[in-house]
Amino acid sequence: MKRNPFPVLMLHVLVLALATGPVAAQSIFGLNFIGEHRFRGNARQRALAFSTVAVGDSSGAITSNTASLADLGDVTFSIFEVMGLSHIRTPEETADQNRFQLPAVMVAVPLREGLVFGVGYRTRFEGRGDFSYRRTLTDAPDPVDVYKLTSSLFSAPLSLSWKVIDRIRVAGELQIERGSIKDEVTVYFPGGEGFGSVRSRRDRSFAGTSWGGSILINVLPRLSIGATFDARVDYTVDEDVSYSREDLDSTATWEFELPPAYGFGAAVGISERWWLSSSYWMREAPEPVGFRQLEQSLQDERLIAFGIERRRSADGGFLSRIPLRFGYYEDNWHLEFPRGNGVKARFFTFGTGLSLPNGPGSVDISLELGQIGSLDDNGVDERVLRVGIGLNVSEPWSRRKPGRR
Amino acid sequence: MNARHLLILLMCIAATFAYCSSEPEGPVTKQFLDSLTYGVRSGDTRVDTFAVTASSISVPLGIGSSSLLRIGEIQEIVFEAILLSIDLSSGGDHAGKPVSRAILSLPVRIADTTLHVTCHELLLEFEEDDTITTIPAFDPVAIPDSAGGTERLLGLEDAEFSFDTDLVEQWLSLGEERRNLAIIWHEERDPKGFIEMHAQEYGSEPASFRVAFDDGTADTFSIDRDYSVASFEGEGLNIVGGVATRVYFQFDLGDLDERAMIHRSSLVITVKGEEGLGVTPGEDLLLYLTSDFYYYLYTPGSSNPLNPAFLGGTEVDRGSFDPAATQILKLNLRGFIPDVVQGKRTNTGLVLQSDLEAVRVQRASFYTVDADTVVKPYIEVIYSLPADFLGGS
Repeated sequence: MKRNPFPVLMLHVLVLALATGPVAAQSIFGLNFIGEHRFRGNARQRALAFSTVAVGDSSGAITSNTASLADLGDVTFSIFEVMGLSHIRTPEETADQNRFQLPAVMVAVPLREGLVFGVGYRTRFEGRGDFSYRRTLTDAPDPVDVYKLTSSLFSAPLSLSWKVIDRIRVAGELQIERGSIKDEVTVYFPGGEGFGSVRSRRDRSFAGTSWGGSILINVLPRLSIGATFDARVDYTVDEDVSYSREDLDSTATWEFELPPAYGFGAAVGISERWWLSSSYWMREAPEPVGFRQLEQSLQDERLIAFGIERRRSADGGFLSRIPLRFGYYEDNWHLEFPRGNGVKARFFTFGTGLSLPNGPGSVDISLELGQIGSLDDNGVDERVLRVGIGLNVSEPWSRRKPGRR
Repeated sequence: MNARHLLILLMCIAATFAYCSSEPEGPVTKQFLDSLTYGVRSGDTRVDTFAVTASSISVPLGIGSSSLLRIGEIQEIVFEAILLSIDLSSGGDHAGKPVSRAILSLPVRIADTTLHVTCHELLLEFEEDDTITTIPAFDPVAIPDSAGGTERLLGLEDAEFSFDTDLVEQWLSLGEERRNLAIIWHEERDPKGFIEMHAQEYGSEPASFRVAFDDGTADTFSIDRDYSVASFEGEGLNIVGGVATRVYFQFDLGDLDERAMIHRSSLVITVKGEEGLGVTPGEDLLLYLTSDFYYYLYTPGSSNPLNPAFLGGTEVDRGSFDPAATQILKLNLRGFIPDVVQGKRTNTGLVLQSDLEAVRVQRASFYTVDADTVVKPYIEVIYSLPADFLGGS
């Protein structure tokens, strides 16, 4: 009897993704505020530059529009991981970095035809940093400041997607919002005999819930429109500040609000295989509660994206069967650095996908090449190459019928 | 493409990225730090110094058990007398026998001169465990030699003292178990010098008392207790072993930032190498001891030197240095200053002593608080302030 390779493959990918997750930082700009925003989507959505609010997906559970899950007929597991190489520049310095982002995971379970329950994990914002500076001190060895940041705000969505009629799908989501931002500074004296290090640490723990809704309408066979709404997230933030001296420790609790976000888009089929898509997404500037240093330095975040896809074909040679995806997006971050100068990310994207052998599912690959920030406007820029790998596997929920797979 | 090929492809992509090395982020993050956009900034790191008051404190303590006996002066440590206890029961019964000759033989091994001494009978017994810092009560009339003189010379060539035979005959006839003697350096101390000889703990060639009788017989009596009576006459800041002189430092940390997180705190003192004594010639040549000065620093249980708790307390640091080399010492105060700053411990000051003060004769001298700024003692505290976490609630 031939052994089904999917569970083994899925396990390997999962382990690989989780193992590489916490390795390093995201964009260098993600040091600031609540980190770098991660948009929803698997490798396919990334390859189409997130222009996919109106693009249905019948094979994956990680999508830009949750309403799309209503098309899933099987239990579907999706996981996505992205890795990046970046070259960071300032007028004086450069640094090459390699980074991994936390994976996104989603499981979709059809309850009945056209009604799909989804649950998973996805990161909203993240940042990571580990850097040090040497200072000079008179009459003593030079101390070194070591800064560490670990930041991740994530959602655990519980979604229900429903195909209302053949052309309309809607979805609602309850999102459990959690996360933390941990900053730590350690001062130590390398080579200084008898010198102890001192540590200052701030742990901010975020907790809240939110809801979201989305709709996907096939207006015509080759025209679809979609919209998403992510309600405001009211986080309760527990802040613990601790030092090497316990008597200096302090705690505080406060509220942080992430304003609601809106997105809409359209997808047009030029032919049976070639589709154009476009999306616009925005969220108003959050109040800098807990980030007073960013007063008047936060702006609306806006994403505008365009994509073109040649969908896979059942016929022809290998190159003809695989899909091809291209896109471009421009994302204006919430962050202004310095004040008044927004941080802008511009990326060209490319991607393709492969059907999993011997069964339903796919492996999608995305490639992003772009730049975050600019030397002229921000004094720092980051040239980034990102490779994303997404895996979708499906399995019928019901007992297998004889003769099927 | 089958599943195995896919897996290999994914692994290769991940491995490629994992093995691409990252360079330090520090230089390129500097702008975020400098602009305060990144909401964390390390606190200042500072070096603060605090003046101290310092005084030498004498502690009643002597060295009874030692391999060498000493008389004379070395580095202002004065050994004014050697006490000897003759065990008269260690010989035979010689009561009533006329004595023809009595010799106290002293095994002098190191002498840089010949000292003038007198020999006296102690009025009380002594033990080596006693704390003897001054010569115990003695008969002011010196024991005469066989010729009736009382002034004696002690040196390498003059290490045998004859005793008046009538006196010794009297000692033996009284049947007492022991006689206690004090060999006292002449009060004029001229010439000065330093002499070392075997003590009974040395294990060979000890001091002895030999008596010859008119009937042609002789006997040797052992000297089973001996003691060097020492005192320290130097001025300034000194810690001295063998005569137990310690230095007491007091200071006020009132100006230290109350949020200080301390990396290191030190008692900074400067050794006056020319006044130090790491090893006596006898310890060097006969006992092969090193010149390292082992110190012990503690915070006393009381800030009152008259309180017995002052002599003990909590250890702060211990270590060693060369007392004959002029150098700046930074004695690590470890957890003491952080505890004081946080109110966990009362600042009763610091006491520095020889860790071998009951074992070895050593001296370390330090520049006083009246000395030049560069060399006078002080407390140094290197600390960082807590990081500023910007933003707040």
